[in-house]
Amino acid sequence: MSEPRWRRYLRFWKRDVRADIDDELRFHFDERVAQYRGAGMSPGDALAAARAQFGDVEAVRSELVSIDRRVARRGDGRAWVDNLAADLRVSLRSLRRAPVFSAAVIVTLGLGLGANAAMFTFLDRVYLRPPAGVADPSMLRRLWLVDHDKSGERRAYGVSVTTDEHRELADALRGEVSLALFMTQPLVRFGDRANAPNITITRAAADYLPLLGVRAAIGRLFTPDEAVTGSPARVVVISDALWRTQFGADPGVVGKTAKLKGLPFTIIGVAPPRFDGIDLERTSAWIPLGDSPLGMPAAVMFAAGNRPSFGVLARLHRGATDAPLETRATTIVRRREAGRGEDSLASVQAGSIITARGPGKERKEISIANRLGGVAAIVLLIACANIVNLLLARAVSRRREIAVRVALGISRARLVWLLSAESVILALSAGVVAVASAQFTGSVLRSRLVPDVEFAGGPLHWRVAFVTLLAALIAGVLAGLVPAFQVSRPSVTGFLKTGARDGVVQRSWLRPALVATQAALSVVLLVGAALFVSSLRNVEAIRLGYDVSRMASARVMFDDWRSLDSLIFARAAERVRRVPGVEDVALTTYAPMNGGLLFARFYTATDSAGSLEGREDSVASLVNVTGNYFRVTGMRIVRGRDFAADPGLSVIVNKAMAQRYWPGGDAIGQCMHFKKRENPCYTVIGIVEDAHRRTVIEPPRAQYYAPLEHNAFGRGMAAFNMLIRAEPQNMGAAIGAARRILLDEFPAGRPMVDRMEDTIAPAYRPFRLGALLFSLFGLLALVVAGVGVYSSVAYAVSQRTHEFGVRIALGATVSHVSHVVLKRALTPVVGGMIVGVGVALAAGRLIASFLYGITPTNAVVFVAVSLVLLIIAVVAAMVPATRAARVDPVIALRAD
Amino acid sequence: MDLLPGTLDVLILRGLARGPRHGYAVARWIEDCSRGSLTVLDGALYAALHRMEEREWIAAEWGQSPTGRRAKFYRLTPVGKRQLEAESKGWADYVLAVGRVMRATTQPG
Repeated sequence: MSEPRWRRYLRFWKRDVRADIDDELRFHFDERVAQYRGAGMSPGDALAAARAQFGDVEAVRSELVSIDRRVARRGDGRAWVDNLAADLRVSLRSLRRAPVFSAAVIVTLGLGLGANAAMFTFLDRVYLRPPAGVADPSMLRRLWLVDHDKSGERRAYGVSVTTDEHRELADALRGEVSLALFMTQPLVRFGDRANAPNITITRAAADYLPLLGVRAAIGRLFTPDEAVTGSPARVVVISDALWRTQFGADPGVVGKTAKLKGLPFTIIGVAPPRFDGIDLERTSAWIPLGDSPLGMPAAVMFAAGNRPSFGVLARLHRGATDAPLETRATTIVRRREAGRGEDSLASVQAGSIITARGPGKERKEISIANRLGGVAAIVLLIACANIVNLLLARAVSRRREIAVRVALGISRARLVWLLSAESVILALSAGVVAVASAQFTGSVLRSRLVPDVEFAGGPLHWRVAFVTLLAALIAGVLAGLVPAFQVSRPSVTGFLKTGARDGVVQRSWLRPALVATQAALSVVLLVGAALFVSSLRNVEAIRLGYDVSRMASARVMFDDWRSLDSLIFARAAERVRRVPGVEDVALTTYAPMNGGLLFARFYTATDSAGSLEGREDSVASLVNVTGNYFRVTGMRIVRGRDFAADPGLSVIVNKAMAQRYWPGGDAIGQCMHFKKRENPCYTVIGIVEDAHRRTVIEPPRAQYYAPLEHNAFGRGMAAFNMLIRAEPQNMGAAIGAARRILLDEFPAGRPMVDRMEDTIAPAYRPFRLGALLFSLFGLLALVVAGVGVYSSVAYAVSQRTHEFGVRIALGATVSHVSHVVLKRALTPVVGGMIVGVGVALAAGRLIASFLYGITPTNAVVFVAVSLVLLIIAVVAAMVPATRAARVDPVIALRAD
Repeated sequence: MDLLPGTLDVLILRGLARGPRHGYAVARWIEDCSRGSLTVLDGALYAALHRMEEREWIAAEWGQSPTGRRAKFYRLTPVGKRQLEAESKGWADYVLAVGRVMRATTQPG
């Protein structure tokens, strides 16, 4: 009994488990029967005996089949792994032979993914990830006071309550919501050293850390007895990071002393490693809640009988909702306002523990980061389109090789795998590049976007790194599959007969579509970049009113403000004035654009209402200055005169103020009576040009200047701000000297001396940031899209060399051939640009609020961007087009 | 005499210790060695062979029987050899221990 011949061939391709078992058993029975017949049995008896000796044939057979199936599957798995390894080796070799191609793909995809990973980590930290080390953060609530200002714009502030209000609220909500009071205090000097670091601390009630679910990793947290607001105990719980950096992870740290703002605190515990507070900014220490900020006596802080108030953190109990909390808190806040004789429609809203989720307004930089997230995604799309294009070109150039493999009987699945193996290798390398670049980009993003925040947590989370690698892999497989499927449909004979050159020029919609997509996305990014750049130029062109580059401001910070003496400060100013290179030093109550403003009620001749009605923006603000203030700041007197050596009761107003209070008439010579109409007259002696009050973008605001000697309140005014004027090249030395002199005069103080440029830099930051990052991304997009057009045209040309040869042989001119190529190449580019313009017009409103002096639909920008892109496309297409036109027909026709 | 559970595997391993054999040869070897006193169903023998192949104690390949027919031959793998050594020693210890008890002269209690 021999097996059918065909089955043997079948088995050559694939093991047939069932047939193998039947063969084995048939052999067994044949031998047994032969044995029994040899012992003298009849054929029938022998077979029966063999069956009896075997047992249940069918049961055994099916068991053997199931065992062998398992074995076969495992064997297939091994073969698959072997093939995989072999394919990877082949791919690696062939990639090494095309280093430019490999590098282009790895770098493009790596940068695209890296930008996204960094962006995602940033946005994830800001919007998605609740603070680490906090138990059940979804039940925690911040309380916000929401109201609407006169223009209808919604505003939201963190709610603060007094201890009495807290008690009332807590009693009313008992069983539903737990509440804890806290107050975060930034810039607390830690330690005694001269360059001691500033840390952020939280003053917290005893139930605050337990409310967050935080337990001490070492030692203990504070008790209610220690967190008495009137006289809090001098104890501190430090963060794990502080414990490691400042105490060398000393296990016996409990009981040691930590100095905060120069005051000794006893360390009672260390927080768990993951807990860095509940804000973006890292919190490094927690001390019991006291009624005034650290280093400031309550008597000073609450002189007018105000009660101290604190932030509230709430935790909903299981099954509780926000509504009762919001209603109760709203009642309390409105009653408080009513008690002051003010009506209020403000209401309290409970918000997520993640601050950026609102309802409080987000920082402008973070809103820009949102848009950048979209931009990063666009860059990745462009990169992917480009990579598909490159891989496609490469796969097509390998058609001959593929045809040979198909002819040798490679399976379609194996072929697709072989082709995608390459892109998988490329993608994984790109993933590694991406993780590295994300690490770098992430820190740059943070320092550029929000340099004032010392972040809790690193710039790249391992989860993001993992997802990035995964995304690279998926992108690689997908990008590899498209070309793999495209070329794995070959007609074998067609290829082998004609070669890779012709007869197979498929008119694929894919490549033009990719080029069009790149063009469209590039338009969007370039329009964004152009808008941000012109907006930045507009902002930088704004004249602030000051000689910004020739000014520096100096002041002294103290842990205890009573150490500040205006006479000593004036003496220090006199010493700074004598420093070589310093032109002059003025004293002022408020340094320009440094945040402080003073409003005083005054009456002019005609008005009976006084000056304090209206919104802050329209009320005139007062600065008391020394007589040389305008010479130091470079502000020009436009009419009248400057302060005299003995100024008397004189004021100088700015143009905005003159127009507002003395419209049509001449302000000079007019009277201002402070506080009461019968008070003495301060005469307006001059009108000075407008200068910005708070920030870079603001309309002219009314300001006036009075001499330090005679302030509005009838006494001399203490000034604690120095304005130093020096030529820019002398400024560094002047600042150093001022710092030394201030330290000499105030040994307990910390001098703060800043260039005016640095003081106002944050106001420019959103504009610089948008311009910089959008330009970078736009440039990247432009380069990538240019490469895309070039490679696509170059490929098309190489595919049609034969055709061009024929055309030229038939008498086509050079210009005719290049015209054909250019037309074919530019059609998708122009189509994509039209789509891109549409998208950019629609997306413009997303960035409108970040622009200054330019609308997102600016026609010049759109035309300029379209032209630039078109020129790049033409140049990118011209190179291969010219090559096509120079084809030598003899060579082209003979080739291949 | 029926086999104690678990002993069939070690018998088969022993049967393959001298070199590759097909299933029928292993069955005959066990019959001959035990002089027919051990009854092993051929079905159970084949099931054990395939299971041990799955466990990689033995490996199989197709070859020619002495009669010139195509037959599946089994041979010990290194794992199988180690297994045989371990089981043989275990068996010897077991037999020794049981024998000591059976030959004991003292009475229980």
